[in-house]
Amino acid sequence: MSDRKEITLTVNGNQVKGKEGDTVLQLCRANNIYVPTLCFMEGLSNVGACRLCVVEIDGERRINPSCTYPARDGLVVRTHTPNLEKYRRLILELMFTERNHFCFFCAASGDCELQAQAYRYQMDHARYPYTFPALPTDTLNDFMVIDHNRCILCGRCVRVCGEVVGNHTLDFSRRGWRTLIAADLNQPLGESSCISCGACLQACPTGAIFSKVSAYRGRTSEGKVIHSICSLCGIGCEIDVLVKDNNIVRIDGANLAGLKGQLCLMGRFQQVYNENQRIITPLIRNKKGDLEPASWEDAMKLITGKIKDYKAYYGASSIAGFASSLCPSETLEAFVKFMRNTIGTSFIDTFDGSGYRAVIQGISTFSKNGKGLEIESPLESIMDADCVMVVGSNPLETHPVAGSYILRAKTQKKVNVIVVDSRPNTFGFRSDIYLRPDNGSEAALLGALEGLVAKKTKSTEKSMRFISLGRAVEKTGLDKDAIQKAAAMLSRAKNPVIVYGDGVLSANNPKLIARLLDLAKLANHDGLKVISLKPRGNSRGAWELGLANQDGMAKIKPKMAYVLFSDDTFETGDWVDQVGQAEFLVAQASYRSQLTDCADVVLPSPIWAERKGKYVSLDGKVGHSQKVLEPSSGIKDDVEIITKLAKGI
Amino acid sequence: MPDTSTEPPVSNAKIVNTPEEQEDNRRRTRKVLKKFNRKRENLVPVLQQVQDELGYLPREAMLEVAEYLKVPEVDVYGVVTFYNQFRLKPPGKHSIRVCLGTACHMKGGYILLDAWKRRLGVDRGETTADREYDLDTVACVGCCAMAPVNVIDKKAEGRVSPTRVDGILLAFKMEKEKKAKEKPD
Repeated sequence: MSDRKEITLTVNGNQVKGKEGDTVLQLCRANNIYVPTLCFMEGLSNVGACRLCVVEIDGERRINPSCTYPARDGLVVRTHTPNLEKYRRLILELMFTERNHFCFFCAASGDCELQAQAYRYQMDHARYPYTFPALPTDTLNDFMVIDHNRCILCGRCVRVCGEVVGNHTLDFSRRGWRTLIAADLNQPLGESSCISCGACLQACPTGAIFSKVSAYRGRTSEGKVIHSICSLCGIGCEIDVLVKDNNIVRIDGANLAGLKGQLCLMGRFQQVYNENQRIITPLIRNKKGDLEPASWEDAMKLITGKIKDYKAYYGASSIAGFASSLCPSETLEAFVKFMRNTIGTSFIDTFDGSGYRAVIQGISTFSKNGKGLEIESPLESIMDADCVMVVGSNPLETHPVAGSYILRAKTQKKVNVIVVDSRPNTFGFRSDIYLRPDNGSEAALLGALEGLVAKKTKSTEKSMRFISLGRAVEKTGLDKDAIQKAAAMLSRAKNPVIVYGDGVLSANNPKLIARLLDLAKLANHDGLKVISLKPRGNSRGAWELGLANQDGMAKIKPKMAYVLFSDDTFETGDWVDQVGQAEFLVAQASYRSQLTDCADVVLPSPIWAERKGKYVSLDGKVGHSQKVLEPSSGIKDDVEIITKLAKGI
Repeated sequence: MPDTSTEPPVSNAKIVNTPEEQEDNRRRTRKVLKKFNRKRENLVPVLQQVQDELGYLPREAMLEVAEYLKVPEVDVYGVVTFYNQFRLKPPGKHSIRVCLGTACHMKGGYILLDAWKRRLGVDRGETTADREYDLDTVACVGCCAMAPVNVIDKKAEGRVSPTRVDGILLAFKMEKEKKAKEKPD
């Protein structure tokens, strides 16, 4: 960027420097000259729809929108002449009279850019008659409402949906003053291809798109905005949480147009409001078999006593610990120390530990030189790829932001997408090639692809033994042409990336992962590019701490189990059976769940918003989440509880 | 007041294609699509030819077009609603066009439009559920001396009064009954 020529302009009589290729608006913003805008948004294309950013430029016959006017050396620009201000006010009046902009009923009042501009121009009335059109309101989406009556047709939602999310659900329909935003073939948003990520909602300058969970709960000025990271999946999106009266009002992406700020429905909406019943005091199972509230001292005494008993009677290895990788690294570290050093057991695991063992075994089968997770690529490499192969995953369900990276690459750069999944996968319908091999035959398919790709690219790399096309067709039940087409697509690509997810991680098949890595190596000359979508926010952090290292973990049968469940949701996996077999079960959890219902002692645990800590994203980047809410008095920090327990033993 | 409602073309008279009709529409759309390659710039010609084939652009046809050209569905819908030449509702057996040009407007063309809306129970741009009539407006047909003008099945009717609407409908009805008598099924 630095090789762009420097140019000098005169703005409002002052000399202003900028770079060639900037627009006049960009240059004004960079030099702290305020020009009002509505349809402009950082990171999106400029369309010049609202005409609020108009400026006078010497030599131009008319006034021009600065957001689309390229800056040139020697331009003389005026941004705030009386004529311009008159014009802007007129535009605002027309906007206000065109549809229904009565702020006192609006969810966005106080956070509305249109309202702010009206205040700025002291618009206490409009000189034109109001048209009061009776436009429909779409409320069928679970989290969002589109009220066309509040829409100013700036097109920010349309651009963010197409350019940032890559989904392209929204666009304009009809024309002129009848223009309306439409989703797909004019369906309600809830029945369209919308992924409910809420990017349009955050982009909307008015109250035309608003959130059902945040509406009327408070304005930005009434609360405090805390910058943190989302700890749900391993992408590590940056979030701005609006907190008012110790309640989360709204969660926004910190940088909507950037890579890690667009959020998904889980991060944006589902975290604002949780219907599950919170656990606020320790609970102990009484003689009748019911859980009843108890004091911290009693609960701690019971747990330490039981640990000592089981250790003395059956030995330390009769106790097993399971931790959720939604917890930050500090908590997990304390947990590992407690289990390993204080109790002396080596049976510790995360809920997604079987996936880790498959990955590590797969990598060691593949490379044999002791490399680990570091051979995986950063998430951003999807954006530079020219072909993306998704194996055993629907990223739009498990990691929607990663899914939208792929969609963005597909819609903007025409990147080819191949989906391989034996399960029904809706992401397949958005791809170029959707291969659905029979269950358990993915490895055969990959082996055949390897053979075809190696033949096409004339690769001399050492690799695993290929599988013949005929055999793969027989095993997978797929069409021969489809496999060949996918192989051709892969070998045509110069920089293909393979993304795999829960389907592969839960298959417990290290050979499949080794095959994947092998295929990635053959297909990409610059070195393999593979990304695994790990299921939890701190999965990688937990794995790096050695929480899931044990081979044969699946075979152990603990007598006593300590589960650091935190605010995780109940999952399936080997660990569920193991916990079910334990005689004595301690659960440290935030919400009532199936697990706490069968536990003998339950300790309350803070939720994500009530703790701070380190999170390692799925591609190994370290982020820090902040404490957003104050927990209620009965809830203690996980680290504090574990250290106290350790002291008791 | 002239009719300036911004209501989207959503009708109470819902015309729902049966699964067989839908399948037929899809098949005929695919037949048209075969003549084109999968380029985005073919969108308008494709839609024109599909409309020539089907008479209008049903939902299933737009879905086929979007998938074939690999454009988002909403882009197809946006283009279809942008241009007046595309219809979203099937044409009726008889077309009724109410002129709202300057002269017809002054002579009460919008009163006629209201009369048609009431009689047929549909809004402008829509078709009655029995697919007998479709109602729309035009802006001047070039015979302003006859204002207000209605164009009924390509025939211009001049100096139409609201009661004439009933007469026209009655004529169509009688014609239909006569035909039914001549050719009893």
